Amino acid sequence: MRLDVKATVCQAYGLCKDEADDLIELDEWGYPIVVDRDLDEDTEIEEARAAIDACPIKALRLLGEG
Amino acid sequence: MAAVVVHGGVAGQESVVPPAPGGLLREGSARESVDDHLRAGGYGLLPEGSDIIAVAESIGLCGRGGAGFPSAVKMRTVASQHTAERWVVANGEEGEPGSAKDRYLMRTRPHLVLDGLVLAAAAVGAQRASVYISDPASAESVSGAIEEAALPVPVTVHRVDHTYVAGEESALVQSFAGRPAIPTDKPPRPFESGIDGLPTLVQNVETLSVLALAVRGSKSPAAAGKSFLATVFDGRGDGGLFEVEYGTPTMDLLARHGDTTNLQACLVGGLFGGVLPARKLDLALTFAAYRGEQSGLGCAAFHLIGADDCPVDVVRSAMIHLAAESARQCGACTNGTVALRDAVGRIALGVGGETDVAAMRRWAQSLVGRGACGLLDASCMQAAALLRHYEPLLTDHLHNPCSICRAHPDGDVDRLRVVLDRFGASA
Repeated sequence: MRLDVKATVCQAYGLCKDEADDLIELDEWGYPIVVDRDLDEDTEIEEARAAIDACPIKALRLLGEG
Repeated sequence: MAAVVVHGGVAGQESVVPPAPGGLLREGSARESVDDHLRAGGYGLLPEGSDIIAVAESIGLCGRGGAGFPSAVKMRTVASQHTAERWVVANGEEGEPGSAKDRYLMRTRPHLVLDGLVLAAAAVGAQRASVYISDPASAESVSGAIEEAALPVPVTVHRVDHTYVAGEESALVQSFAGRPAIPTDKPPRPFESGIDGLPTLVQNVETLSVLALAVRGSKSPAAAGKSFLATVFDGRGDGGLFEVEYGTPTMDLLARHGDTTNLQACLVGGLFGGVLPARKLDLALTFAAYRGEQSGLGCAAFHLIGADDCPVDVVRSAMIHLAAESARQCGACTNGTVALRDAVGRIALGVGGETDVAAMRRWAQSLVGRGACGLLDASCMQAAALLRHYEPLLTDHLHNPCSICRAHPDGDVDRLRVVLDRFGASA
């Protein structure tokens, strides 16, 4: 599974980074850059879900789920 | 290779070299009638859908809107979904600056486009078909052709206002839903879920025309798949439309437009390939060869940069155009296109610093893939190619801005738009 930012939705709240510091960087305008690879099932999915839940406008999602 | 010269607009086409029969270009500028098309073998019996897809696959048919995505893959995805209905749309919203090929086909060969659309509909089992157009003359031509022909599927013309992003296929789907024609996040892609949530095959009008020639034409399918249309134009808005075989050296194509002695460089692939210096222009006209140069063949529109032009200035005009055409939906694009435009602007005018060059280099990497469509990627490509091929010239501008760049102090004026309007992009 991959973590994906819906670019047309994201408003740079930046709350996702607090939950997933290893997976997300913020650019100079505060928009997230997420790791461009499949997530490690054991260690990273939970972190990614926390980031998704932290977004007030649901701009993040997991791709490749079931 | 055949040529149609375009002076100040695709409407004023004049043929200088008679095109070879059975190709995409026709001799003369007259619109092909339904009888002409029938005489050339058009609108025959529809083959089985799987046979049509097999032809598309065998000739390597790919998206001529610029992305080059294999048509057979899209067709199979749409055909294999278990839905009662499917859509197929001919995409004639030619948004790439300078490209005139799609308007030529719709204005001059609307029956070839419609024949390809009908074949694509049969290939995927679509019951609904439309042609998506901004150019008024193209809409009139295609509407007339729909009236003239007895098509096996009902076909409509869907009108949209011309913008850079309106031709992107998720923007197309939005327009059919009655919303502004701006891109949406992927997935889903239209071939998974498109118009009315139905699987939707969107194919560029040239792609469909090649399919029609391959299935119906006098040449073998393989021969029909060998050539494509390219547009070549200069900074004054004069240009030509050419039919050329894949693999031809780029310079041979450019030489068909005119003397290349004073050619310094070229903006290639619409705005998707960036700048290439003349010494690189022996490059073969294939998607793979262009990728190998970290460039892109795209829709095969070529903007000539002569000895009297400055590559920094032309790239800057492309970045100004892209910033102006951003739909301003995605934060990275809204900020990034403007930041790239302003950084190259400061450098070009001699008021920038090394930090601007460093920022351009960083953004050219970090902003790629960050928008819902490819517009931001085009800005990144412009920056990356300028740094790759012209960094000494660029940094020289920090202290010695050239007279051409200094003649354009205003970073907001979309000069490329003016050239394109002359060329007929918004005709």
